Amino acid sequence: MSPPETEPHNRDISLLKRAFAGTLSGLNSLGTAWILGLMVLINVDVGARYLFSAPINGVTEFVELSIVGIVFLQLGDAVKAGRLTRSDGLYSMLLTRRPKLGHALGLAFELSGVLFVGLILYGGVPLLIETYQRGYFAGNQGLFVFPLWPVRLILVVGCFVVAVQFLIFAWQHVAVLVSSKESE
Amino acid sequence: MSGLEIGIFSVLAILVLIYSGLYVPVALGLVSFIGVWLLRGTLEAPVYLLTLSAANSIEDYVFGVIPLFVLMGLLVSQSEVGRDIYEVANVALRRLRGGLGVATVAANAAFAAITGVSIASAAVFTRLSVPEMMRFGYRPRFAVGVVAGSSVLGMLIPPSVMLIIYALIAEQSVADLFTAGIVPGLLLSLAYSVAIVFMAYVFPDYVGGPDASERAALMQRTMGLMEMTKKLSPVVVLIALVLGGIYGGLFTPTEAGAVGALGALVTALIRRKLDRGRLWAVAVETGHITASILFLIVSATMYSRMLAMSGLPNDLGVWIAQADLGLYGILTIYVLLLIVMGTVLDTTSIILVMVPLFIPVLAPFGINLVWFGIVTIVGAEIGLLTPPLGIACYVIKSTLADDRISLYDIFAGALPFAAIMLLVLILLIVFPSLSLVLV
Repeated sequence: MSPPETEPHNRDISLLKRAFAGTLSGLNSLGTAWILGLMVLINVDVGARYLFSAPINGVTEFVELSIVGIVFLQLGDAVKAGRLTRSDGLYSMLLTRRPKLGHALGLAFELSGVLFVGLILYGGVPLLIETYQRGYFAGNQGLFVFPLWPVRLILVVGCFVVAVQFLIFAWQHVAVLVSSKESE
Repeated sequence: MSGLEIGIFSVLAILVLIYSGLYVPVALGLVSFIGVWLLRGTLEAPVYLLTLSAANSIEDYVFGVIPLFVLMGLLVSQSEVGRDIYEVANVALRRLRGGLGVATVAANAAFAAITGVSIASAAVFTRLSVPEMMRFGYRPRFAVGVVAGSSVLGMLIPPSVMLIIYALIAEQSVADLFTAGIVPGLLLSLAYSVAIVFMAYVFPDYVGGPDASERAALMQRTMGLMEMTKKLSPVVVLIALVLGGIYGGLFTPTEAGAVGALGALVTALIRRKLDRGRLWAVAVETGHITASILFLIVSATMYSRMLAMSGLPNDLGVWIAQADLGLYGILTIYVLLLIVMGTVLDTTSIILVMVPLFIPVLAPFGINLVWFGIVTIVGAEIGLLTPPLGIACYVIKSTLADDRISLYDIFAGALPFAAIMLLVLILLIVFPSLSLVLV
């Protein structure tokens, strides 16, 4: 099925939307595969240690780095799926009983989210550059070494997509607010 | 503003924002940012706090336990081991009055020993035992109450994500908290079981139960020893692998999580409950839960560092010491706060907000922080069963999708079990050795 003919501007937007959705699910798949890989790796390490007395070097360090990687790879998709922890009893009641107030509050919440991850990015980007330029690493030199910059890069990319997702949610609240104003 | 005032306003602001519905990590992170900004007077310090917390606070081997135990729990739920445990417990307890209720508690306790996610067990047992109990004449309100009450066992009996979260926040050993959860978990199961049998004898109209013909049908059910063994073997093997591995010193908790997840995966594959699509769906779900829990922990790190800078926990400690309340006085206030907060907030948020505030306050009393964790978790979980927002009751309501049972019925049914939890909590506070005997 071909997408409906639209104005060039709208087509650009829908292309952007699909690109973003693809990015989110791609990052998420990477994180998901990482979790399964971690499970296998640790089992192999345990097996090698007890069955062959030959533990694998660097598993501990790899697990440490993996956690940050996994979290920030999955965070965007988790936010999109509405899995970020919130206590929504009062808020969902407002959305049904006082929709305008509810959506205005929702808009404020999403923009707070943008601000929060934006602040992490503001400090995170220089941290990434410094980590890359100075070649920081984890592990023991000579045995095994993991460079730290890929994990920092994931942190920056993860926070960026989360910010975009919050902006999309914010825009949806704006759309509801605007259309309710028009219908009056 | 003094540091103390900034600290107090921050805690209040966080509570109000969370209650209004702001994402919990955003509330913790942004308020901490503003707090540190006010305390230090420059923007550099709070940006540094946020960035370093995000980059470093979860960069630790022990955080690997979260994705792995969540994965294990979801795989176990997928393999329908819960159904088998429940069937065996039903047959074993069919002669007892209130037997199906006790079977629900027993199956929940056994299920809790192989999963760490309590919402999973509330959903599983709502589908399993509520219809079964109603079929044999139990009153709906009693049936949902039993399921709601026993669903909290999942967070207390190891492995438990809640015990892990506390351990990470309070900087205690995960293995110690797992060990400390065993006796309180069994004690609570026992208290529930005794109460169910007691209610079945003393308030038969409230409990309901099988009439003569239903009882006869129930007695017809038998199960050979071989079949029981077959149904229970995955549970026994998983418990032995995971908990045995940790207590025996064979595995670190992270390794036990990985071994348990693999064991659960093999179980699900052998029973043909898993294809590639479902495995992927379970892994994606694991990722979502992991990301949301660990992002919470990141923001809780920001919050507790901000608190420490403000000096509020220390000042609170001095103030409470002058008020001369004594340990039990403070603990009474603490537990009341937990219960009140538990009625509107989820357990994780409560732990994240309260623990960093109260540990310094209680430090002069030389309390054991492992025991304090058990007290905190049981106290915060009482709120899961109480209105207006007891989450366990909402999960049951949404899983049940039966209009004959209202949310009110579920809360009313859960009330006796919340009261039992409170009694058990008092016992746990008065006798710390109940939690610490195995540690």
